[in-house]
Amino acid sequence: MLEEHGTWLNALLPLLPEWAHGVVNVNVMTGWLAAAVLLVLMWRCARNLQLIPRSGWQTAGEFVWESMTGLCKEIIGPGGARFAPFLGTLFLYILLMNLFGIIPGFLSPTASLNMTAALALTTIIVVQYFGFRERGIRYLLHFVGEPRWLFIINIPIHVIGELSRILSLSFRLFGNIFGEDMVLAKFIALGAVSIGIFVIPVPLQLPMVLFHILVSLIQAAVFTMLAAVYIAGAVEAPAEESRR
Amino acid sequence: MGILDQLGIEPGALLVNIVGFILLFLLLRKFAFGPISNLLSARAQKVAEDVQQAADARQEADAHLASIQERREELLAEVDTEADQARKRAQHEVQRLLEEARARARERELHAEKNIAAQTERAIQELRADVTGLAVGFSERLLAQSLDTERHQALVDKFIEDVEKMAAEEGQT
Repeated sequence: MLEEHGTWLNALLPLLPEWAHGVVNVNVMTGWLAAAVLLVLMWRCARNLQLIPRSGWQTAGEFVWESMTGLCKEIIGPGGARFAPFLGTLFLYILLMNLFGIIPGFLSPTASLNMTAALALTTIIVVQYFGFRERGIRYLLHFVGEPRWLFIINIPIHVIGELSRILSLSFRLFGNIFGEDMVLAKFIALGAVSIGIFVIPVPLQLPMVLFHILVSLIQAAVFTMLAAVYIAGAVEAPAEESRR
Repeated sequence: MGILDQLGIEPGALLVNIVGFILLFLLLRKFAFGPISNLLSARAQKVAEDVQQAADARQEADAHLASIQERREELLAEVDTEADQARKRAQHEVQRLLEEARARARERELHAEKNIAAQTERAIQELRADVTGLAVGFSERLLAQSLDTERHQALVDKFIEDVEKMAAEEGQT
């Protein structure tokens, strides 16, 4: 696995207490680092807010927020803006973790199933929470499906469908980022090998770094948009229920 | 658990990641998204208020402009009336001055005619007195000496000549 390559954070592992060894690993610490960076950046964006923006930080923060609320309204509907904090956190966190892979001496935490599964699991739990919060007990009808008399078949199918979302979300993100990190590592190794041919190391990984940035953005957007679609499906009343 | 191990999933790390993400979400909502969202709401409200104020100000300005235009129309009408009255007053004054000048001229004319008549009368009186004097002188001289026909004729001619001379002198004066 990629952890075997080692990162700057590997040096901190021996400092952890004994009980934390099975819980905290390099990916978890990189995730914390990404969270800390994100917190600092967003706190800086939200500091000294003025009605007329006077700093680029505030403009950037407003741009992020407006983009997220716009996405939520587009996918979920006019009331979708209230889900923007969750989806915004999801997007920025995943994006930042994806981009950590291009920093020398770091790995993308999203190249680990521990992180992507955690995010997918949280997303699906939050989707169920939003469904119950918006529609109450009638949200369970979503699992019964149509026609009602086929509930014995429908309920297991829908439950499996919900669970499969965890798998699809986590494996999609993990596979893409892990693959990108692997490609990057191989190209870096290839560049090192090129010393024998070109005397100096050739940065063969550079095009892949640019590609990694693109994939990072796309995968963060895909994860967030899918989460938004799941939320929209959970909070929207089915057509038949609306008619009643 | 066998599958999880094969996939490299550690339940402890999974749980820590979930907790970490939830904490991050709560902190970002509290310290970043919340304030930004509130600010944008406040800005939207401010913009709506400003737009409303601008609309009110526009309405007020329109009303003010209408009242100014109305007042302007009134003033123009007043100016027209005043000009009309002034024109009429001027025409009346011109007429009055003309009539006054005509009356004065007529008066002077009458005065001149009277003067002429008085002077003519005086000249006639003077002439009459002179003629009377001459006639008296002539009579005195006629009575004082006997006259023959030729002498009589010469006296008469002299008398007529004196009268003509006097008349000529009167005409010159």
